[in-house]
Amino acid sequence: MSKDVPPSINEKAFLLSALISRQRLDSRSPHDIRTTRILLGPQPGHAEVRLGKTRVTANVSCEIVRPRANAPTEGALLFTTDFSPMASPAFGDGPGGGGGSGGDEILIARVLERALRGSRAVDTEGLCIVAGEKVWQIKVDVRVIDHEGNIVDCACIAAVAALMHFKRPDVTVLGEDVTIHSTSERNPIPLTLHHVPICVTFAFFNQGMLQVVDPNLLEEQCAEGDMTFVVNRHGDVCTLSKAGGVAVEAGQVIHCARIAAAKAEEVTDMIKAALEKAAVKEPKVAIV
Amino acid sequence: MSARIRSDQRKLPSEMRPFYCSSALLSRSDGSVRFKSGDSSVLCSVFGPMEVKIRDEKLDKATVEVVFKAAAGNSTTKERLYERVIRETLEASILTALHPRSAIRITLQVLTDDGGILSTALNAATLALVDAGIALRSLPAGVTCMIDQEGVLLLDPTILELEAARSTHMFVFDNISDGALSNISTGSFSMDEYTSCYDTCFSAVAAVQQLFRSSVEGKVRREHGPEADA
Amino acid sequence: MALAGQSQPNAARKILIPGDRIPLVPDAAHQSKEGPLKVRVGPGLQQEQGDLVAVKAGVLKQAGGSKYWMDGSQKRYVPAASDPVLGTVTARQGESFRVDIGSAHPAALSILAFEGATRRNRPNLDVGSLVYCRLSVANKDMEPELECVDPATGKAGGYGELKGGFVVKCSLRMARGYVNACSPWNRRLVLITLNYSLLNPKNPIVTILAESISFELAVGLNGRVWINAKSCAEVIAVAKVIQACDGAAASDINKLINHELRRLEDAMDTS
Repeated sequence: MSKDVPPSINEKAFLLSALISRQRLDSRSPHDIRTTRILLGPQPGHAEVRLGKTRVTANVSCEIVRPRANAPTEGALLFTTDFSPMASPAFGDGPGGGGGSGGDEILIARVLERALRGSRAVDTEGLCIVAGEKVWQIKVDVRVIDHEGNIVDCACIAAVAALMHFKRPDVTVLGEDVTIHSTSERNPIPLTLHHVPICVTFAFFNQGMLQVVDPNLLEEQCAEGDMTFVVNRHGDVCTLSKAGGVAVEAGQVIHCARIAAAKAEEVTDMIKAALEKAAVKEPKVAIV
Repeated sequence: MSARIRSDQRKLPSEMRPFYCSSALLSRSDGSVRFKSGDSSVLCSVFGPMEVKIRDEKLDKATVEVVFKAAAGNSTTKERLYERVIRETLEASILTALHPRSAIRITLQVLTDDGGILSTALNAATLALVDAGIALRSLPAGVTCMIDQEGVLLLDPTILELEAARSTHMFVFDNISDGALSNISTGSFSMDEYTSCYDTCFSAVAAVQQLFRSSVEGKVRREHGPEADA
Repeated sequence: MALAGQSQPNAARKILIPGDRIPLVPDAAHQSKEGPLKVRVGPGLQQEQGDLVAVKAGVLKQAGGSKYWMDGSQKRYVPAASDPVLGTVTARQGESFRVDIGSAHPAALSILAFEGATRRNRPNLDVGSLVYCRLSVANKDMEPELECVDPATGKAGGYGELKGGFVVKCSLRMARGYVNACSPWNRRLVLITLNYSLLNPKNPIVTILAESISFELAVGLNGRVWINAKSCAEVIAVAKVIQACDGAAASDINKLINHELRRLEDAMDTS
């Protein structure tokens, strides 16, 4: 399918010379992330996140399944990442195609999976209904609908916000009988999250000497390498992903990690604020 | 008439849900629209005329590609059917001969499904094509109706109402002719029922066309400023 | 000749949507003088029997009595002959370069379509170079062809490779507004590299900016604008103004420009 045309020599050279004088083309400072908007609802578990012009939606759903034999008390957490053809002309292969499957897209899906599942953010033990018989399976559908750079960070915020907003139906277990209560019967239950992992991506320029946070599309296309941190607000690094690109010194990695931790705190507060705003709008269900 | 004939706040069987649209939301697409009808909401993006895959290339006209994505999960035969209906309906209205050997790619993403999703998607696609500046012969607009077990005709049913449907009907009409451009009817129904569905949808589509006109005019007015009405 | 719209009779300019018919009513006085009605149909319109039919949304415009076209907005470029465009070289192919101009098909730029070029004296363009050129061939059934000479004079006349600077994308309507506010039949192609002394006085954005910043512009009708100025900060300021004004209401343009200029001044003060 049609590929994105790489930026011209002029654009690359200009971007670099601007960065050397510490200027970004969208007037951000090197360590600013773009304006972030988080929209939650109307249904629980639906989030739409805009990071600048990049736009990702996440949808969380649940169903009851039989647990794996080697982990009878653990619920399941599934991720699907869909690169909609509407996000970029380079994505997707038309009708019948299951969306993009280029190298970059698989890489992004992997980083997301490691960020959210590998960091054990969701309490899967709490999803057990009857050990060895029935557990909740939580499914997160992430859809990229507008690609203006840094999909990973945007998708991660969307997935985390959707998981925090989601509520599963309450169940009661009496012996062998499992009753699922509808939302009108009993208040649904939010998921338990141990911590909130946030992706922070850096792009490197000028032989790795310069770095910027949250690269936009042009910066991504011109970058010599990138690195994604998955951190939470406590400063724990959950994942560090650097697939090729320019070599970066150890000291710089640690410097980036510090910046990432600060950004994670900023983003976590934004998600919290969005959740509070959404909670006000939600109709309260009375418990009888 | 009983007030509880509809599953939502509507009072009449022939009442449509409120609908609205917003355009040019996406930055990469050539045209994009979000179309809402009640709680059904579809996002549509259009690229084109763009490069076409060699195997889909047509020497005398543009290839119209439609991708329909459900709110969650993978595509099934239902989505494939919807893709085909929308593609064949729009192909009749798009002046494809103006752009040979190129592609017009329409991507539809269901955001929330509360019934009538095919007509909502079609309406979103029409407006997204206008937003993208693709040359169109006419504007196709879709309306859905159903007949329940008691034989009552309900216009623009919700997903709850559709569970009790004996037959459902989707009609597409455009703004230049009097006949239907396309129609999908499922279930069992009599000829009389079909005719009344046709008539109800035909009169209901005027409201959709009115929305098309006002939203497009609003956009043009914004872009041109006061000179648009001079 | 007068024009009768469907709901607004005699409206020479109005907003149309695809499918709207415009019956052409011959003006009695006009017809007696000129004989049969001659109408030139421009972009966004088609002729169907005696009527004009809109196929795109926009404002119906009329010039010279019998030229009609639709002024609408879109992002995707469709090549039209003699349009100045800004492209990126994507490949070298023997006798020509392949250039991306944002249309459905890449355009071909012959190595001979430069000022003074011969088979011995070839222009040297690398992949990724930015070229400002005009469309010599634009036909829906053919690959678009480009040239870097003005066919009237045989001189480069501003066309050719652009060095330095930066490119921003904007809507086609906005790009057209920079080049000329006139009809598509009357595009002046002289605004090659706009110096601020050579500005189109009709364009408020460029005029206001030029009072504070000196810069060069090359505007491609494919919705790409090349900007060059002395400092990065100035280029960024112009680029941001162009992007902010795209689609903004005319009344907001002054505010947007002043906002950006203030930001530029602040940046200059601190540095």
